[in-house]
Amino acid sequence: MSSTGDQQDSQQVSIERLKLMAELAGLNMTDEEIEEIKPLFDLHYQYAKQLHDVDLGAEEIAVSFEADWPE
Amino acid sequence: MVNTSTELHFLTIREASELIRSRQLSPVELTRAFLNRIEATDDQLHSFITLLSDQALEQARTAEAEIIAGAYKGPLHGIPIALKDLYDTAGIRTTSGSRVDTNRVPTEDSTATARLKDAGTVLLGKLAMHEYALGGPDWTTGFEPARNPWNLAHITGGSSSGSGAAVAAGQAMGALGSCTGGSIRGPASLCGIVGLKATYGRVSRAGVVTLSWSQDHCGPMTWTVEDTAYMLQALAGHDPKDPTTSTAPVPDYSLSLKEDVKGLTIGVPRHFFFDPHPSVNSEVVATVEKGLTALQDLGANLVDVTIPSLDQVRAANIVIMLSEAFAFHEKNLKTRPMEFGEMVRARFRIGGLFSSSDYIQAQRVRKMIKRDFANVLKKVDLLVTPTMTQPAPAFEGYDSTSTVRGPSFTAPYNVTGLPAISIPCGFTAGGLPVGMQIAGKPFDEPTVIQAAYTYQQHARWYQQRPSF
Repeated sequence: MSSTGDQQDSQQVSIERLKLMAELAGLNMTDEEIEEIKPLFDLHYQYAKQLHDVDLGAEEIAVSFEADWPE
Repeated sequence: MVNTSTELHFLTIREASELIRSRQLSPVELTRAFLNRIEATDDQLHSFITLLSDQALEQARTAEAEIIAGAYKGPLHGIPIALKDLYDTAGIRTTSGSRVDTNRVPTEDSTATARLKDAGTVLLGKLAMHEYALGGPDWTTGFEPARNPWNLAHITGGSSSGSGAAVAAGQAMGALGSCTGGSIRGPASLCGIVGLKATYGRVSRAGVVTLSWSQDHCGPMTWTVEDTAYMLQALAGHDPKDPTTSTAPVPDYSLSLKEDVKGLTIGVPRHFFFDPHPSVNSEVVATVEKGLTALQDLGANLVDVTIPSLDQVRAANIVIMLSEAFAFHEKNLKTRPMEFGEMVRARFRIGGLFSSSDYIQAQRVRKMIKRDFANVLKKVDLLVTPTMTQPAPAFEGYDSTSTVRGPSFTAPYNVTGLPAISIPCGFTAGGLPVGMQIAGKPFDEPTVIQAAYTYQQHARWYQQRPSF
Protein backbone atom coordinates (compact mmCIF):
# COMPACT_ATOMS: atom_id res chain seq x y z
CA MET A 1 0.00 0.00 0.00
CA SER A 2 1.32 3.40 -0.94
CA SER A 3 1.74 6.13 1.64
CA THR A 4 2.57 8.85 -0.83
CA GLY A 5 0.58 11.49 0.98
CA ASP A 6 2.75 11.07 4.05
CA GLN A 7 6.04 11.20 2.24
CA GLN A 8 8.19 14.27 1.93
CA ASP A 9 9.54 14.92 -1.52
CA SER A 10 12.86 16.63 -1.97
CA GLN A 11 11.71 18.06 -5.30
CA GLN A 12 8.89 20.22 -4.01
CA VAL A 13 7.74 23.18 -6.03
CA SER A 14 9.35 26.42 -4.83
CA ILE A 15 7.33 29.34 -3.52
CA GLU A 16 8.35 31.40 -6.55
CA ARG A 17 7.19 28.71 -8.94
CA LEU A 18 3.96 28.27 -7.00
CA LYS A 19 3.31 32.01 -7.30
CA LEU A 20 3.81 31.76 -11.04
CA MET A 21 1.49 28.76 -11.30
CA ALA A 22 -1.21 30.58 -9.33
CA GLU A 23 -0.80 33.66 -11.49
CA LEU A 24 -1.08 31.62 -14.69
CA ALA A 25 -4.23 30.01 -13.30
CA GLY A 26 -5.65 33.48 -12.71
CA LEU A 27 -6.10 32.91 -8.99
CA ASN A 28 -5.03 36.39 -7.80
CA MET A 29 -3.55 35.03 -4.59
CA THR A 30 -1.55 37.20 -2.20
CA ASP A 31 1.95 36.25 -1.09
CA GLU A 32 0.53 35.38 2.30
CA GLU A 33 -2.06 33.09 0.73
CA ILE A 34 0.64 31.40 -1.34
CA GLU A 35 2.67 30.75 1.81
CA GLU A 36 -0.38 29.37 3.58
CA ILE A 37 -1.41 27.03 0.78
CA LYS A 38 2.10 25.69 0.15
CA PRO A 39 2.07 22.72 2.60
CA LEU A 40 -1.35 21.58 1.35
CA PHE A 41 -0.24 22.04 -2.25
CA ASP A 42 2.86 19.93 -1.62
CA LEU A 43 0.66 17.18 -0.20
CA HIS A 44 -1.56 17.18 -3.29
CA TYR A 45 1.29 17.63 -5.74
CA GLN A 46 2.81 14.34 -4.61
CA TYR A 47 -0.21 12.63 -6.08
CA ALA A 48 0.11 14.36 -9.42
CA LYS A 49 3.77 13.41 -9.57
CA GLN A 50 2.94 9.82 -8.64
CA LEU A 51 0.64 9.54 -11.64
CA HIS A 52 3.43 10.54 -14.02
CA ASP A 53 5.61 7.75 -12.65
CA VAL A 54 3.15 5.02 -13.66
CA ASP A 55 4.19 3.02 -16.72
CA LEU A 56 1.04 3.23 -18.84
CA GLY A 57 2.38 2.18 -22.22
CA ALA A 58 -0.23 3.05 -24.85
CA GLU A 59 -3.07 3.32 -22.36
CA GLU A 60 -5.80 5.70 -23.51
CA ILE A 61 -7.77 7.99 -21.24
CA ALA A 62 -10.91 6.78 -19.50
CA VAL A 63 -13.82 8.30 -21.38
CA SER A 64 -17.48 7.58 -21.76
CA PHE A 65 -19.31 8.12 -25.01
CA GLU A 66 -23.05 8.45 -25.31
CA ALA A 67 -24.32 8.17 -28.87
CA ASP A 68 -27.32 10.38 -28.17
CA TRP A 69 -25.33 13.14 -26.48
CA PRO A 70 -25.96 16.06 -26.40
CA GLU A 71 -29.72 16.09 -26.43
CA MET B 1 -25.07 3.30 23.97
CA VAL B 2 -27.90 1.26 22.64
CA ASN B 3 -31.57 2.07 22.36
CA THR B 4 -34.01 -0.57 21.24
CA SER B 5 -36.99 1.81 21.33
CA THR B 6 -40.06 1.22 19.21
CA GLU B 7 -40.93 4.93 19.02
CA LEU B 8 -42.21 6.12 15.66
CA HIS B 9 -38.99 7.91 14.76
CA PHE B 10 -37.09 4.65 15.07
CA LEU B 11 -39.33 2.67 12.72
CA THR B 12 -37.73 1.56 9.48
CA ILE B 13 -39.26 2.55 6.15
CA ARG B 14 -40.44 -1.02 5.65
CA GLU B 15 -42.12 -1.10 9.08
CA ALA B 16 -43.74 2.31 8.65
CA SER B 17 -44.87 1.67 5.09
CA GLU B 18 -46.64 -1.55 6.09
CA LEU B 19 -48.48 0.37 8.80
CA ILE B 20 -49.32 3.21 6.42
CA ARG B 21 -50.50 0.88 3.66
CA SER B 22 -52.79 -0.92 6.07
CA ARG B 23 -53.97 2.46 7.43
CA GLN B 24 -52.74 1.75 10.94
CA LEU B 25 -50.43 4.75 10.81
CA SER B 26 -51.14 8.21 9.47
CA PRO B 27 -48.39 9.92 7.44
CA VAL B 28 -49.35 13.09 9.32
CA GLU B 29 -48.80 11.42 12.69
CA LEU B 30 -45.51 9.99 11.46
CA THR B 31 -44.34 13.33 10.11
CA ARG B 32 -45.23 15.09 13.36
CA ALA B 33 -43.18 12.51 15.26
CA PHE B 34 -40.15 13.30 13.11
CA LEU B 35 -40.60 17.06 13.37
CA ASN B 36 -40.81 16.68 17.15
CA ARG B 37 -37.70 14.53 17.12
CA ILE B 38 -35.81 17.10 15.07
CA GLU B 39 -36.93 19.92 17.35
CA ALA B 40 -35.78 17.96 20.40
CA THR B 41 -32.38 16.98 19.05
CA ASP B 42 -31.10 19.26 16.35
CA ASP B 43 -29.70 21.95 18.59
CA GLN B 44 -27.09 19.32 19.49
CA LEU B 45 -26.81 17.37 16.23
CA HIS B 46 -26.95 20.21 13.68
CA SER B 47 -28.15 17.84 10.96
CA PHE B 48 -30.48 20.31 9.28
CA ILE B 49 -29.70 23.51 7.41
CA THR B 50 -33.30 24.16 6.41
CA LEU B 51 -36.33 22.64 8.14
CA LEU B 52 -39.58 22.54 6.14
CA SER B 53 -42.15 21.85 8.86
CA ASP B 54 -45.20 23.43 7.24
CA GLN B 55 -44.51 22.01 3.81
CA ALA B 56 -43.82 18.56 5.28
CA LEU B 57 -47.14 18.51 7.11
CA GLU B 58 -48.92 19.63 3.95
CA GLN B 59 -47.25 16.84 1.95
CA ALA B 60 -48.16 14.36 4.68
CA ARG B 61 -51.79 15.46 4.57
CA THR B 62 -51.77 15.03 0.80
CA ALA B 63 -50.26 11.55 1.11
CA GLU B 64 -52.87 10.61 3.68
CA ALA B 65 -55.69 11.77 1.44
CA GLU B 66 -54.27 9.85 -1.51
CA ILE B 67 -53.95 6.66 0.50
CA ILE B 68 -57.46 6.96 1.89
CA ALA B 69 -58.67 7.45 -1.69
CA GLY B 70 -57.00 4.19 -2.66
CA ALA B 71 -54.11 5.73 -4.59
CA TYR B 72 -51.29 4.09 -2.62
CA LYS B 73 -48.03 4.69 -4.47
CA GLY B 74 -45.75 2.16 -2.80
CA PRO B 75 -43.35 1.78 0.10
CA LEU B 76 -42.20 5.42 0.11
CA HIS B 77 -45.68 6.92 0.21
CA GLY B 78 -45.99 9.13 3.27
CA ILE B 79 -42.41 8.42 4.40
CA PRO B 80 -40.49 11.41 5.87
CA ILE B 81 -37.10 11.88 4.28
CA ALA B 82 -34.51 14.63 3.93
CA LEU B 83 -32.01 15.73 1.29
CA LYS B 84 -28.38 16.70 1.43
CA ASP B 85 -28.39 20.41 0.72
CA LEU B 86 -26.96 20.12 -2.77
CA TYR B 87 -30.06 18.53 -4.32
CA ASP B 88 -31.96 21.32 -6.02
CA THR B 89 -35.42 21.93 -4.62
CA ALA B 90 -37.71 24.32 -6.48
CA GLY B 91 -38.44 27.39 -4.39
CA ILE B 92 -36.32 26.14 -1.46
CA ARG B 93 -32.82 27.43 -0.91
CA THR B 94 -30.02 25.00 -1.70
CA THR B 95 -26.79 26.12 -0.08
CA SER B 96 -24.30 23.29 -0.69
CA GLY B 97 -23.11 24.16 2.80
CA SER B 98 -21.40 27.31 1.52
CA ARG B 99 -21.76 31.02 2.08
CA VAL B 100 -21.34 31.34 -1.69
CA ASP B 101 -24.80 29.84 -2.17
CA THR B 102 -26.48 30.91 1.07
CA ASN B 103 -29.29 32.60 -0.83
CA ARG B 104 -29.45 30.33 -3.87
CA VAL B 105 -33.03 29.24 -4.59
CA PRO B 106 -33.39 26.85 -7.54
CA THR B 107 -36.37 27.10 -9.82
CA GLU B 108 -36.51 23.37 -10.56
CA ASP B 109 -36.23 20.18 -8.56
CA SER B 110 -33.30 17.88 -9.20
CA THR B 111 -34.39 14.68 -10.89
CA ALA B 112 -33.75 12.75 -7.65
CA THR B 113 -35.88 15.25 -5.70
CA ALA B 114 -38.67 14.94 -8.24
CA ARG B 115 -38.57 11.15 -8.30
CA LEU B 116 -38.78 10.88 -4.53
CA LYS B 117 -41.64 13.38 -4.60
CA ASP B 118 -43.41 11.27 -7.24
CA ALA B 119 -42.97 8.25 -4.98
CA GLY B 120 -44.96 10.07 -2.32
CA THR B 121 -42.24 10.95 0.17
CA VAL B 122 -42.56 13.79 2.64
CA LEU B 123 -39.62 16.21 2.57
CA LEU B 124 -38.63 17.24 6.11
CA GLY B 125 -35.82 19.54 5.09
CA LYS B 126 -32.35 20.06 3.70
CA LEU B 127 -29.36 18.53 5.45
CA ALA B 128 -25.95 19.72 6.56
CA MET B 129 -22.96 18.78 4.46
CA HIS B 130 -19.32 19.57 4.07
CA GLU B 131 -18.97 22.60 1.86
CA TYR B 132 -19.51 21.69 -1.81
CA ALA B 133 -19.21 18.01 -0.85
CA LEU B 134 -15.49 18.18 -0.16
CA GLY B 135 -13.29 17.55 2.84
CA GLY B 136 -14.26 17.58 6.48
CA PRO B 137 -15.91 19.74 9.12
CA ASP B 138 -14.92 23.40 8.76
CA TRP B 139 -16.21 26.13 11.07
CA THR B 140 -15.08 28.82 8.63
CA THR B 141 -17.91 27.97 6.21
CA GLY B 142 -20.49 29.64 8.44
CA PHE B 143 -22.38 26.35 8.91
CA GLU B 144 -22.20 24.31 12.09
CA PRO B 145 -20.87 20.78 11.43
CA ALA B 146 -23.23 17.88 12.15
CA ARG B 147 -22.33 15.66 15.08
CA ASN B 148 -22.28 11.90 15.40
CA PRO B 149 -25.32 10.55 17.31
CA TRP B 150 -23.26 7.68 18.71
CA ASN B 151 -20.93 10.17 20.37
CA LEU B 152 -21.46 13.90 19.97
CA ALA B 153 -17.76 14.57 20.44
CA HIS B 154 -17.06 12.74 17.19
CA ILE B 155 -17.51 13.69 13.56
CA THR B 156 -20.02 12.02 11.26
CA GLY B 157 -17.76 11.65 8.29
CA GLY B 158 -18.74 13.31 5.10
CA SER B 159 -19.42 14.98 2.99
CA SER B 160 -23.02 13.79 3.53
CA SER B 161 -22.63 14.61 7.21
CA GLY B 162 -26.19 15.68 8.00
CA SER B 163 -27.57 12.70 6.08
CA GLY B 164 -25.59 10.27 8.22
CA ALA B 165 -26.47 11.99 11.49
CA ALA B 166 -30.16 12.47 10.70
CA VAL B 167 -30.83 8.86 9.72
CA ALA B 168 -28.82 7.45 12.61
CA ALA B 169 -30.55 9.70 15.15
CA GLY B 170 -34.07 9.02 13.92
CA GLN B 171 -34.55 12.51 12.48
CA ALA B 172 -35.44 11.11 9.03
CA MET B 173 -36.33 7.64 7.77
CA GLY B 174 -34.06 8.03 4.79
CA ALA B 175 -31.86 10.63 3.19
CA LEU B 176 -29.98 11.27 0.01
CA GLY B 177 -26.25 11.69 0.02
CA SER B 178 -23.81 12.30 -2.79
CA CYS B 179 -20.45 10.66 -3.24
CA THR B 180 -17.26 11.55 -5.13
CA GLY B 181 -14.69 9.72 -3.05
CA GLY B 182 -16.82 8.07 -0.37
CA SER B 183 -19.28 10.69 0.84
CA ILE B 184 -22.22 8.28 1.07
CA ARG B 185 -20.46 5.17 2.38
CA GLY B 186 -18.14 7.11 4.71
CA PRO B 187 -20.78 8.77 6.87
CA ALA B 188 -22.91 5.63 6.64
CA SER B 189 -20.04 3.65 8.12
CA LEU B 190 -19.20 6.18 10.82
CA CYS B 191 -22.86 6.69 11.79
CA GLY B 192 -23.83 3.01 11.75
CA ILE B 193 -26.32 3.09 8.88
CA VAL B 194 -26.60 1.80 5.30
CA GLY B 195 -25.37 3.85 2.35
CA LEU B 196 -25.39 2.82 -1.31
CA LYS B 197 -23.51 4.32 -4.22
CA ALA B 198 -25.00 2.65 -7.25
CA THR B 199 -23.18 2.20 -10.56
CA TYR B 200 -22.24 5.44 -12.29
CA GLY B 201 -25.15 6.19 -14.61
CA ARG B 202 -27.77 4.34 -12.56
CA VAL B 203 -29.00 7.44 -10.68
CA SER B 204 -29.34 10.85 -12.32
CA ARG B 205 -27.08 13.70 -11.23
CA ALA B 206 -29.23 16.34 -12.92
CA GLY B 207 -29.91 19.23 -10.57
CA VAL B 208 -27.29 18.13 -8.07
CA VAL B 209 -24.46 20.60 -7.49
CA THR B 210 -21.27 19.24 -9.05
CA LEU B 211 -18.02 18.44 -7.38
CA SER B 212 -16.57 16.18 -10.08
CA TRP B 213 -18.73 15.31 -13.07
CA SER B 214 -17.03 12.03 -13.82
CA GLN B 215 -16.91 10.75 -10.23
CA ASP B 216 -20.07 12.16 -8.59
CA HIS B 217 -22.74 9.65 -7.64
CA CYS B 218 -26.11 10.13 -5.94
CA GLY B 219 -27.66 7.60 -3.61
CA PRO B 220 -29.70 6.69 -0.55
CA MET B 221 -28.75 6.47 3.11
CA THR B 222 -31.11 4.55 5.37
CA TRP B 223 -31.26 2.45 8.51
CA THR B 224 -31.66 -0.89 6.71
CA VAL B 225 -30.76 -2.53 3.40
CA GLU B 226 -34.40 -3.00 2.39
CA ASP B 227 -35.05 0.70 2.93
CA THR B 228 -32.11 1.50 0.67
CA ALA B 229 -33.55 -0.85 -1.98
CA TYR B 230 -36.88 0.98 -1.84
CA MET B 231 -35.22 4.35 -2.29
CA LEU B 232 -32.98 3.13 -5.10
CA GLN B 233 -36.06 1.77 -6.88
CA ALA B 234 -37.55 5.26 -6.92
CA LEU B 235 -34.31 6.95 -7.97
CA ALA B 236 -32.87 4.62 -10.61
CA GLY B 237 -33.30 4.94 -14.34
CA HIS B 238 -32.46 6.94 -17.40
CA ASP B 239 -32.90 10.70 -17.26
CA PRO B 240 -32.76 12.80 -20.44
CA LYS B 241 -31.42 15.66 -18.29
CA ASP B 242 -28.33 13.62 -17.41
CA PRO B 243 -26.76 12.16 -20.57
CA THR B 244 -24.51 9.90 -18.50
CA THR B 245 -27.46 7.94 -17.14
CA SER B 246 -27.89 4.45 -18.50
CA THR B 247 -30.82 3.31 -20.58
CA ALA B 248 -30.46 -0.21 -19.19
CA PRO B 249 -33.70 -1.50 -17.65
CA VAL B 250 -34.06 -1.03 -13.89
CA PRO B 251 -34.55 -4.35 -12.11
CA ASP B 252 -37.00 -4.91 -9.25
CA TYR B 253 -34.66 -4.50 -6.30
CA SER B 254 -37.19 -5.96 -3.86
CA LEU B 255 -36.48 -9.34 -5.47
CA SER B 256 -32.98 -9.09 -3.98
CA LEU B 257 -34.32 -8.91 -0.44
CA LYS B 258 -33.76 -12.59 0.23
CA GLU B 259 -31.32 -14.29 2.53
CA ASP B 260 -29.01 -16.25 0.29
CA VAL B 261 -25.31 -15.94 -0.43
CA LYS B 262 -24.72 -19.64 -1.03
CA GLY B 263 -22.37 -20.14 -3.93
CA LEU B 264 -21.38 -16.50 -4.27
CA THR B 265 -17.65 -15.92 -4.61
CA ILE B 266 -16.38 -12.98 -2.60
CA GLY B 267 -13.00 -11.49 -3.43
CA VAL B 268 -10.96 -10.09 -0.55
CA PRO B 269 -8.12 -7.73 -1.59
CA ARG B 270 -6.19 -8.15 1.65
CA HIS B 271 -3.02 -6.57 0.29
CA PHE B 272 -4.63 -3.13 0.32
CA PHE B 273 -7.57 -3.22 2.73
CA PHE B 274 -6.52 -5.61 5.49
CA ASP B 275 -2.73 -5.66 5.79
CA PRO B 276 -1.25 -3.61 8.66
CA HIS B 277 -0.74 0.07 7.78
CA PRO B 278 -0.19 3.12 9.98
CA SER B 279 -3.36 4.75 8.62
CA VAL B 280 -5.59 1.71 9.16
CA ASN B 281 -7.23 0.97 12.51
CA SER B 282 -6.69 -2.65 13.53
CA GLU B 283 -10.00 -2.78 15.43
CA VAL B 284 -11.85 -1.85 12.24
CA VAL B 285 -10.06 -4.57 10.29
CA ALA B 286 -10.74 -7.19 12.99
CA THR B 287 -14.43 -6.27 13.04
CA VAL B 288 -14.76 -6.62 9.28
CA GLU B 289 -12.89 -9.94 9.41
CA LYS B 290 -15.71 -11.19 11.62
CA GLY B 291 -18.18 -9.99 9.01
CA LEU B 292 -16.31 -11.93 6.34
CA THR B 293 -16.38 -15.04 8.50
CA ALA B 294 -20.13 -14.62 8.89
CA LEU B 295 -20.59 -14.39 5.12
CA GLN B 296 -18.51 -17.54 4.74
CA ASP B 297 -20.60 -19.31 7.37
CA LEU B 298 -23.68 -18.28 5.42
CA GLY B 299 -22.39 -20.08 2.35
CA ALA B 300 -20.22 -17.63 0.42
CA ASN B 301 -16.80 -18.62 -0.86
CA LEU B 302 -13.99 -16.28 0.13
CA VAL B 303 -10.93 -15.92 -2.08
CA ASP B 304 -7.99 -13.58 -1.78
CA VAL B 305 -7.57 -11.37 -4.83
CA THR B 306 -4.95 -8.87 -5.94
CA ILE B 307 -5.76 -5.57 -7.63
CA PRO B 308 -2.36 -4.19 -8.63
CA SER B 309 -3.34 -0.58 -9.31
CA LEU B 310 -5.07 0.12 -5.97
CA ASP B 311 -2.05 2.15 -4.88
CA GLN B 312 -2.83 4.62 -7.66
CA VAL B 313 -6.49 5.15 -6.78
CA ARG B 314 -6.06 7.98 -4.27
CA ALA B 315 -3.91 9.96 -6.69
CA ALA B 316 -6.29 9.54 -9.63
CA ASN B 317 -9.34 10.32 -7.51
CA ILE B 318 -7.87 13.52 -6.08
CA VAL B 319 -6.38 14.92 -9.28
CA ILE B 320 -9.55 14.27 -11.29
CA MET B 321 -11.83 15.52 -8.50
CA LEU B 322 -10.03 18.80 -7.83
CA SER B 323 -9.37 19.54 -11.50
CA GLU B 324 -13.06 19.13 -12.33
CA ALA B 325 -14.10 21.02 -9.17
CA PHE B 326 -11.90 23.95 -10.14
CA ALA B 327 -13.45 24.03 -13.59
CA PHE B 328 -16.94 24.09 -12.08
CA HIS B 329 -16.20 26.68 -9.36
CA GLU B 330 -13.60 28.79 -11.19
CA LYS B 331 -15.70 31.90 -11.63
CA ASN B 332 -16.71 32.14 -7.98
CA LEU B 333 -13.19 31.26 -6.83
CA LYS B 334 -11.87 34.23 -8.77
CA THR B 335 -14.60 36.71 -7.95
CA ARG B 336 -15.76 35.76 -4.43
CA PRO B 337 -12.93 33.68 -2.95
CA MET B 338 -13.43 34.83 0.63
CA GLU B 339 -16.98 33.47 0.69
CA PHE B 340 -15.60 29.92 0.56
CA GLY B 341 -14.48 28.21 3.75
CA GLU B 342 -10.75 28.06 4.24
CA MET B 343 -10.24 24.37 3.43
CA VAL B 344 -12.40 24.24 0.33
CA ARG B 345 -11.00 27.51 -1.00
CA ALA B 346 -7.47 26.14 -0.66
CA ARG B 347 -8.24 22.75 -2.18
CA PHE B 348 -10.28 24.12 -5.08
CA ARG B 349 -7.43 26.53 -5.85
CA ILE B 350 -5.04 23.58 -5.87
CA GLY B 351 -7.31 22.02 -8.48
CA GLY B 352 -6.47 25.01 -10.67
CA LEU B 353 -2.77 24.37 -10.23
CA PHE B 354 -2.79 20.90 -11.72
CA SER B 355 -1.79 20.81 -15.38
CA SER B 356 -3.72 19.33 -18.27
CA SER B 357 -1.04 16.67 -18.36
CA ASP B 358 -1.77 15.79 -14.72
CA TYR B 359 -5.47 15.44 -15.46
CA ILE B 360 -4.97 13.34 -18.59
CA GLN B 361 -2.47 11.12 -16.82
CA ALA B 362 -5.03 10.62 -14.04
CA GLN B 363 -7.61 9.55 -16.61
CA ARG B 364 -5.18 7.11 -18.17
CA VAL B 365 -4.40 5.64 -14.77
CA ARG B 366 -8.14 5.46 -14.19
CA LYS B 367 -8.48 3.31 -17.28
CA MET B 368 -5.83 0.97 -15.92
CA ILE B 369 -7.61 0.77 -12.57
CA LYS B 370 -10.92 0.01 -14.26
CA ARG B 371 -9.33 -2.80 -16.22
CA ASP B 372 -7.76 -4.29 -13.09
CA PHE B 373 -11.15 -4.30 -11.34
CA ALA B 374 -12.84 -5.77 -14.41
CA ASN B 375 -10.29 -8.60 -14.50
CA VAL B 376 -10.87 -9.44 -10.84
CA LEU B 377 -14.64 -9.25 -11.19
CA LYS B 378 -14.48 -11.88 -13.93
CA LYS B 379 -13.43 -14.31 -11.20
CA VAL B 380 -15.55 -13.17 -8.25
CA ASP B 381 -19.09 -11.90 -7.76
CA LEU B 382 -18.36 -9.33 -5.07
CA LEU B 383 -15.54 -7.59 -3.26
CA VAL B 384 -15.80 -7.14 0.52
CA THR B 385 -13.61 -4.82 2.58
CA PRO B 386 -13.78 -2.34 5.44
CA THR B 387 -15.57 0.84 4.35
CA MET B 388 -13.30 3.23 6.24
CA THR B 389 -9.78 3.06 7.57
CA GLN B 390 -10.85 4.41 10.96
CA PRO B 391 -13.91 4.75 13.19
CA ALA B 392 -15.29 8.28 13.55
CA PRO B 393 -12.53 10.64 14.73
CA ALA B 394 -13.15 13.13 17.52
CA PHE B 395 -13.63 16.79 16.65
CA GLU B 396 -10.90 17.66 19.12
CA GLY B 397 -7.59 17.35 17.37
CA TYR B 398 -9.16 16.46 14.04
CA ASP B 399 -6.69 16.82 11.17
CA SER B 400 -8.52 18.44 8.27
CA THR B 401 -5.94 17.06 5.85
CA SER B 402 -6.57 13.47 6.95
CA THR B 403 -8.90 12.93 3.99
CA VAL B 404 -5.95 13.62 1.71
CA ARG B 405 -3.35 11.54 3.53
CA GLY B 406 -3.20 7.76 3.48
CA PRO B 407 -5.34 5.29 1.58
CA SER B 408 -9.03 5.62 0.76
CA PHE B 409 -11.11 2.44 0.91
CA THR B 410 -14.11 4.03 -0.80
CA ALA B 411 -12.54 5.97 -3.68
CA PRO B 412 -11.82 2.87 -5.83
CA TYR B 413 -15.53 2.65 -6.57
CA ASN B 414 -15.82 6.32 -7.53
CA VAL B 415 -12.88 6.02 -9.88
CA THR B 416 -14.28 2.83 -11.45
CA GLY B 417 -17.99 3.68 -11.12
CA LEU B 418 -18.76 0.26 -9.65
CA PRO B 419 -21.66 -0.17 -7.21
CA ALA B 420 -20.77 -0.31 -3.51
CA ILE B 421 -22.71 -0.35 -0.28
CA SER B 422 -21.68 0.18 3.33
CA ILE B 423 -23.54 -1.75 6.00
CA PRO B 424 -23.02 -1.83 9.77
CA CYS B 425 -20.93 -4.78 10.93
CA GLY B 426 -20.16 -4.03 14.57
CA PHE B 427 -18.76 -1.53 17.02
CA THR B 428 -15.40 -0.60 18.45
CA ALA B 429 -14.75 -1.07 22.14
CA GLY B 430 -15.50 2.63 22.48
CA GLY B 431 -18.98 2.18 21.03
CA LEU B 432 -18.38 3.66 17.59
CA PRO B 433 -19.89 1.93 14.52
CA VAL B 434 -17.83 0.05 11.95
CA GLY B 435 -18.98 -0.43 8.37
CA MET B 436 -18.38 -3.24 5.90
CA GLN B 437 -18.22 -2.39 2.20
CA ILE B 438 -19.66 -4.73 -0.43
CA ALA B 439 -18.97 -3.89 -4.08
CA GLY B 440 -20.06 -5.58 -7.28
CA LYS B 441 -20.04 -5.65 -11.04
CA PRO B 442 -21.42 -2.79 -13.14
CA PHE B 443 -25.19 -2.52 -12.68
CA ASP B 444 -25.23 -5.59 -10.47
CA GLU B 445 -26.84 -3.76 -7.57
CA PRO B 446 -29.15 -6.78 -7.08
CA THR B 447 -26.28 -9.03 -5.98
CA VAL B 448 -24.78 -6.29 -3.82
CA ILE B 449 -28.13 -5.72 -2.12
CA GLN B 450 -28.79 -9.42 -1.68
CA ALA B 451 -25.45 -10.05 0.03
CA ALA B 452 -25.89 -6.97 2.22
CA TYR B 453 -29.41 -8.01 3.17
CA THR B 454 -28.33 -11.55 3.97
CA TYR B 455 -25.58 -10.33 6.29
CA GLN B 456 -27.86 -7.75 7.88
CA GLN B 457 -30.52 -10.34 8.69
CA HIS B 458 -27.87 -12.60 10.18
CA ALA B 459 -26.02 -9.98 12.23
CA ARG B 460 -28.98 -7.74 13.11
CA TRP B 461 -26.88 -4.69 14.01
CA TYR B 462 -29.85 -2.60 12.91
CA GLN B 463 -31.56 -3.51 16.17
CA GLN B 464 -29.17 -1.21 18.01
CA ARG B 465 -29.83 2.51 17.94
CA PRO B 466 -27.83 5.31 19.49
CA SER B 467 -29.27 6.30 22.85
CA PHE B 468 -29.02 9.95 21.88
